[in-house]
Amino acid sequence: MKELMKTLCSVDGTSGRETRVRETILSLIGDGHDTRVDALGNLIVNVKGRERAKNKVMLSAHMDEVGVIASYITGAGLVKFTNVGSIQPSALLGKTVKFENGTVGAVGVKPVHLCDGDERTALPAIKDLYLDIGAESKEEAEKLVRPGDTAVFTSVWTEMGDRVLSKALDDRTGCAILVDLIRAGVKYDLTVVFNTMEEVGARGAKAAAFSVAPDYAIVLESTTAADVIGAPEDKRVCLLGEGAVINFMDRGTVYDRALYDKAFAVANENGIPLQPKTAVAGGNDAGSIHVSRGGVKTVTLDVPTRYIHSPSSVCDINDVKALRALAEKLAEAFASADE
Amino acid sequence: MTTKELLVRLTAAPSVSGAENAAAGVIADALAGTADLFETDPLCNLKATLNPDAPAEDGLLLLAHMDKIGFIVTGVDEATGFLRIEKCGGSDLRCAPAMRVKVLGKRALPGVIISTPPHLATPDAANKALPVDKLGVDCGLPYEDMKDLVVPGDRVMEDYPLYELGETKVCGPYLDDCAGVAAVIRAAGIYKEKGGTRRLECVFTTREEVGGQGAETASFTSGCGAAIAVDVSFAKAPGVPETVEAALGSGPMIGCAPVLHKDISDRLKALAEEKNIPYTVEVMGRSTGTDADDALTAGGGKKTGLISIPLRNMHTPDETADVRDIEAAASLLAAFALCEKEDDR
Repeated sequence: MKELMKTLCSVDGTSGRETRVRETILSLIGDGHDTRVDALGNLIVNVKGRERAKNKVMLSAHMDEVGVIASYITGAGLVKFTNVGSIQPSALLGKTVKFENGTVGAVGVKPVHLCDGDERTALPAIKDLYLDIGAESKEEAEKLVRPGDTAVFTSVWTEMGDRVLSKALDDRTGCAILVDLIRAGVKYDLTVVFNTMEEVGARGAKAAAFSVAPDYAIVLESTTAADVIGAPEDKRVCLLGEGAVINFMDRGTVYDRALYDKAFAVANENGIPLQPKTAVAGGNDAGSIHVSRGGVKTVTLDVPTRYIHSPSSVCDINDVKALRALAEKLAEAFASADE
Repeated sequence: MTTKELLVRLTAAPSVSGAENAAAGVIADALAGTADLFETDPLCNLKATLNPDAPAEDGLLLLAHMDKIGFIVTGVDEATGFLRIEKCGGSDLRCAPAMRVKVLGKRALPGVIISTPPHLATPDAANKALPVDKLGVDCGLPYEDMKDLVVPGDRVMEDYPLYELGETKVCGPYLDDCAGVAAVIRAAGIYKEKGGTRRLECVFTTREEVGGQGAETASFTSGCGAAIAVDVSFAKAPGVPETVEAALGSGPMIGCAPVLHKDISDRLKALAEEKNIPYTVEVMGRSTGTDADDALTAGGGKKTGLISIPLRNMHTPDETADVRDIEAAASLLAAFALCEKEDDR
């Protein structure tokens, strides 16, 4: 699983630019699957199970990661940009990003030595930041980067015991779990969707859910874990090493109570650690999926992830394994349910 | 070894202020075959001397600091296993969240400085950098492991590769002052190649980022009558005053300040003109904030000059410099050292 995650996290693809991620997934799952790419770039895989399903179950994860998009090249050859997906300015300051053609950009910052008083600790807004790509003029810069080009955080995949550190854990972890499921084979027929454009409003999922038209949907995500030094106990949201996470409500969805209970029951039966997400925050593809067509019964399961939407997110491989196990068992339960 | 390759080695060597031995090793390797004598002193400065038998008073002392900004561990949090830290030098804390670090404990541990999720930030603190006592280092390991691997006093360094920006620029932590160190190493190489006969002392100083104690003691010990410090300074960039003339690629900055010796500044300018080395002049109204300040009053005092490499994003992991400036600084320093007579200097 770590190898799959490393492979997928190392590919770059921000919202709307997921082609490389999709191609990597296609090569990882290999031939012999019924696959389709729709107009928005979603990858839809109909996975043949050993048995026929009573209900149509869709498992999904999103391929896109947060990043930046070049908006303007200044006369001095600097690149102005805006964020693609939600990024805190502090996650960008002093960091580097990489464009699709390999050009590295450094996020510049006024030297702290030259700042006075409050300016020394004030975080500039993203609109005031720029990228230095080593060019000395507009002409030189435009040979490397044009407005509309996208870049993602540079990051070196790092293992720290059971924990891994990388960019894009949100949501290549979900993608890795789904690739692993497809490769291992499943009990009941199901549809696996790798979505585009989650970070900019769950747009890929909206189109994919319409065309797949599932009875049940399970969204695999990464969610904020705030179990860091100094965090109040009740503000930690979820904890690394304590298993998979399930949402009861977030900014996009109020989840079906019966499914929430069912997930805990399945987790208990199978000895899989599962914790509730103890904050009503964030949103994900479930927000688009559960209101698709006449409505879809939807569950979101997550891997607790620290420093999400930064170049250095951290998650625990044991939680990833728990999520993989629960996703499979819950999909089986939904596929074979009597209604 | 190209200058870029040298910079990769220098920037990767652990040498947070007060614990610079690994960098000293890399520098000594780079100067093997160039310097005739290597010495260290109680503050762990590394001195590499060419022509040690030549008289000291005619010699030239070059200083570049080999210490790096970073953090120092103050404790291990029992609840989380995270490290509490204090600054060791002047890191820009606005860049600290999600910063990749290497903890130099019993073994080197990868880690990351915490980034507070938005829901935990109070409204008035949302757009402000956290003070260092609210930060911590996450190494992904539980307290039981961390307490055996890391003790208070261990150092924490920024951990990023050196990226190339365009053809000639490099970006990464610690070009302050690996750029200066590289310039001195290169200058010594040119001096040796050109058959310089005078004593040349290259001192790689410790603790510049925490007060300059290394330069103070090393300069006292050196008998050289003249000294040039080699450091980095602010290059043109958004937010930097328009009066700053230096840009990346505009050559070394020659320091002019009340505390610096005018003869040395003038000689450096004249040599740059003569040898067609690009340069700019950096004027400071008082002292320089570099090892030059400590060298000039050491012992009975030294005629002191300052050469700076233009740098963007100082004290962040995105420090950016132009390799051409480092090489031009080396040429200028070598030309200065090669002047035959004291009067020529």
